[in-house]
Parts: sequence; C-alpha cells; structure tokens
Amino acid sequence: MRSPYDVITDQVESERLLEATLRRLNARILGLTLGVLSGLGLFAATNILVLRGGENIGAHLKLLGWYFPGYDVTFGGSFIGAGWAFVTGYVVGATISRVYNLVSDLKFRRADSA
Amino acid sequence: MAEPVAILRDLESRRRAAIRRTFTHFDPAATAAGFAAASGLVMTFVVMRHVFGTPPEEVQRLFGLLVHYLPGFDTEGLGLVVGVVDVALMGAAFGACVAWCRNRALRIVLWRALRERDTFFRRHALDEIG
Repeated sequence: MRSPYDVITDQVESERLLEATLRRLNARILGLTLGVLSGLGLFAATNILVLRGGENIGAHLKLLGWYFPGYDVTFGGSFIGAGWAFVTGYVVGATISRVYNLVSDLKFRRADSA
Repeated sequence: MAEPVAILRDLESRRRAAIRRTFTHFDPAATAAGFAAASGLVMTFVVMRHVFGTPPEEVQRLFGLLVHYLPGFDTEGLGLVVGVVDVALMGAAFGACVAWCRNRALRIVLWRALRERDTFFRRHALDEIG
C-alpha cells in the first residue's frame, strides 16, 4: 500500500503539471490562428480587388510579390499569397508563444526558487 | 519533512494562484518579448530581402518611406540594423498594450460573472424555506 506521503508527492507533481500547462501558450494553436487569419486576410484583400476590376488592379498590393514569390493580384495568385501569408502568420504566432513561454518560465522559476 | 496538512494547504494556495494568474493575467513582459521577437524577425526578413536582392523601384521607394516612422532608419548600412531594433521596440510596446488590454477586458468579464453569481444567490437564497 502506498504511504500518504507518496500520494501527496504525486498530487504535488500533478499540480505542478497543471500549473505549467495553464500558464503556457500553445505555439501550434497561436501559429495556426494567426496563419489562418493572415492567409484568409490576404486572400480576401486580393480577390476584392480582382472582383472590383479596372485598370492597374492592386498597384500596391502586387508589390508583395517581391516578398512572396509567385504572388500576384489575380485569382490564382491569391492562393499562392494565402499560402505565404499562412506560413508567415504561423511563424509569427509560434515565435510569439515560444518567447512568451520562455520568459514566463524564467520568471516562474525565479519566483519558485525565492 | 513538512506536515501533510501544511503541504496540502500550500498546494491549495498554489493551485488558486495558478488559476488566478491564468485567468486574470497575461504576463505583459513576456507578451512584449514575444511580440518584439516576432516583429524583429519579420523586419529582419524584409531587410535581408532588400540587402540580398534588387527590389523593384516602387518597392524601394515605399521601403524608404519607413524613415518617417522609424527614427534612425536608413535604406542602407547601419540604418537597416537600427530599423530592425526600432520595429522590435515597437513590437514590444504593442505586445505590452495587448497584454494590458487583455487583462483589463478579462477583469471586466470576471467582474460581470461575479455580479451575476451574486444576483443569482440573492434571488434564490430563500428558495428552500418555502
């Protein structure tokens, strides 16, 4: 039979795990959120201009093609742009949450040891 | 070895602190650091694309307009590094603002939830007597 101290030690460990889980941001979730938002944003922005039509469509937006190879203000280009924007948003989201967790862990560890 | 009651009491207070921290607090310093790193990374990518490529004239012109927003920024040399630092600092300020706003918003949500709970208790306090 397990001693009461073992049970308490287990409980302490599970509480620590819970605390660590609650405190941290999930890099994948934040990355996917920002990725999907920026991908859809660029897709919508491009296609609104394409549907509106006219001369010299998206004179400024098409300059993004310099940063996102293959992107253009056309229906096909909007898919490529959405892909690039998704990747960029994912990297930004993942970076934010990873650095957040790093700083938060450092502060938590310092507070725990004090 | 500490008394089991003391350990459990400590555990309970830690659990409450963790839940409170999670649901009422978004660490402003950590958020600022996260946003600073992400925006610095994006600006570094933009700068690298300009340094190791020949962007179209229109892109160069628009890139140069950043001078108006980023103190010390220039389209070549050390000015580019200053630009990255500027953007990272702006990202940090933005991140801190995001954390501040989120914490305030959460406080309002919690205040409303507690008020609704109190109203509910007041309304149903005497239900069992009848």
